[in-house]
Amino acid sequence: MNKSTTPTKKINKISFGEQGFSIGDQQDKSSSSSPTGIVRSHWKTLQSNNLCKICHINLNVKNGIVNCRKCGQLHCNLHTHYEVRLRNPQFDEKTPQYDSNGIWSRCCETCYLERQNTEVLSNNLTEDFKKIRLTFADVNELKRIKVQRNFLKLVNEGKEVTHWKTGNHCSICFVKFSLLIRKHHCRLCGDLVCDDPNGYRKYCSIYLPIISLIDRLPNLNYDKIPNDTIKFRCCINCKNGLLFELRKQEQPENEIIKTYLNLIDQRYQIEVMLEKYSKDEKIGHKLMNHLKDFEKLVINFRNQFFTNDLRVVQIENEQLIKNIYQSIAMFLQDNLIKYKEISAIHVPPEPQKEEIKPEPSLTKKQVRELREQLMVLNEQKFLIENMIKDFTKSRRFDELNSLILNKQELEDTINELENKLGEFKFI
Amino acid sequence: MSTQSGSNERFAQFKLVLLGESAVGKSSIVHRFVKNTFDDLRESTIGAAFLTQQITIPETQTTIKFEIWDTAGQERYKSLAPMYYRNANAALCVFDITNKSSFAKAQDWIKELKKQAPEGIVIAIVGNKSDLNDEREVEQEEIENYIQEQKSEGYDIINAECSAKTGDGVLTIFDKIGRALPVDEVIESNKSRQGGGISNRRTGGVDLSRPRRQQAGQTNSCC
Repeated sequence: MNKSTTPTKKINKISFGEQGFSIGDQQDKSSSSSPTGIVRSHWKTLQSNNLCKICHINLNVKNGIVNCRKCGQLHCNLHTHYEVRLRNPQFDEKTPQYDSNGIWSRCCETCYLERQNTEVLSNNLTEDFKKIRLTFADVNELKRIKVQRNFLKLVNEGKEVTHWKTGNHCSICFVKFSLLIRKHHCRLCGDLVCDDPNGYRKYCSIYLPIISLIDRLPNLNYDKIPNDTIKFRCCINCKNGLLFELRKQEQPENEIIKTYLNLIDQRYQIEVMLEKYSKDEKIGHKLMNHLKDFEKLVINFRNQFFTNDLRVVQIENEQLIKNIYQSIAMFLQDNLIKYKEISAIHVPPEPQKEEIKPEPSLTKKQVRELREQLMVLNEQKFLIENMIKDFTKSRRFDELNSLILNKQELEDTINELENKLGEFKFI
Repeated sequence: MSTQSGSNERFAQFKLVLLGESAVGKSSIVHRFVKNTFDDLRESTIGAAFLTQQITIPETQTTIKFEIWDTAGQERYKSLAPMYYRNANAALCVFDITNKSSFAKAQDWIKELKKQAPEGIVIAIVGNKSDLNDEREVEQEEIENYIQEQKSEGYDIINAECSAKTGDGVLTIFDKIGRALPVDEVIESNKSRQGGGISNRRTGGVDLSRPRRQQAGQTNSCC
């Protein structure tokens, strides 16, 4: 950051020139470049009764008289609370230009907002995150495998498989062992654990028949099944580790995640295909199929998680659903033109497909017309809603009745149309 | 908004819809009628606009309130029109006398109305822009023939010409429609439905003009 190059102390200098006087941190205009290094030749000079370009307030000592370093226009203090990075004009450029490596300079609101369109600073940390996550996941995976192997050994050989650790504290709840709280060892990892099956610390370890775990883990390579009277102690971490895979299967898979994974999968396919498509046009049909599948998925997603008026069905997952929906919408918008091109080229195979379909759906033209109607109706509904608001405000209740009736009618028609359109209603 | 100030004054409310090609002056006619203004550079209507205005027919001491739905003429909004003429009491098919195709379009609308609109709808065919008589493309005779033709088929269509710009003839149209509307029937049915002709049109608020006696009778549940 070159911020240090701007003067730290504001010089309030009053200078009397031919065009009047100026106050503020602007310095002698005759010098073409300021200490900050950005030229000032384009600065507008102060005329009598100047107005701020944005708020049109009178510029004076109180409100401030500041030149925007970018456009050179005069503004009040309030609208120059911004800084952008600029570089000096080159060649035939008249004003300083935005430059991400330039000098931090004061500018007006307009120039500040404009900058955001031209320069984007972003930092993608996804890869780093993935890496860190992977290391943790690996460690946990290794631990689980170790516990599993120990368990297998324990079952097959029926003897100690680990060294018992020493210490005075439970490894899980850190309670100090005493006459009443006895030491126990997990037979799988050897950690010290307490035992308190009915009390406050009951989650540290369990003492259970070995057969009960075997029952739940039938796929391991057991040499022999021990008789069901043998019990052993196991700490909660080992138990969770052993049953991790099982839990994952048991967990009813989240509908949202499932749908999302499907979508991601399809999207990835499309992206890959798109790349290939640019070289090889033959795969167009395949790509179209993928696109159609994707469209179907999106429609399903919408029907599943959104109500008719675009509200999320599951409130607890609202953010998640909305984000997923947004990302899909963005993906579609980014690539819509390409898809249109492709679907325009590969129209011929489509009718054939539609013939195969059991129930003849609407033709493209009909769909377009109906969609247009739907749009018009929605527009009108919006207008009427506004009218209802206005009329309520001005207390013209006589007319309100007809308006409300009309809105009802419009809603009915909209519903009817949406039903007619079915899956086509979503563009 | 008091509509029943005099005891012998009668009140009726009707729904009226304007149809016609775009840029013939539907909105201009309505604004001339409702606000008595004219805008040279009116923007085209979006969807359907809603305005109200009432007229009095002195002979019968009747106040008629028009709820006017001014539909957009552009093709895009064609699908909206049925919604508004479906339960309208009157329809104004407007055409531009300097534009032949708009006359044909108005005839199309009438044809559609005859098919789709409710029985007993009052239809009027209105030639707008009569101030541009020099550029006239649709002759009086032509319109007259059309009216006669319709009459022979059993449809009585009101014919009028007006100029929203100068205001000529605009009020006459609504007056004609007001007289053609089945005012008496509506008032009678209102009376029989509501007993004493008290309006229950309003959804909220207190009708200050309502006779005191009845108001007290209706609020016996309180205090």
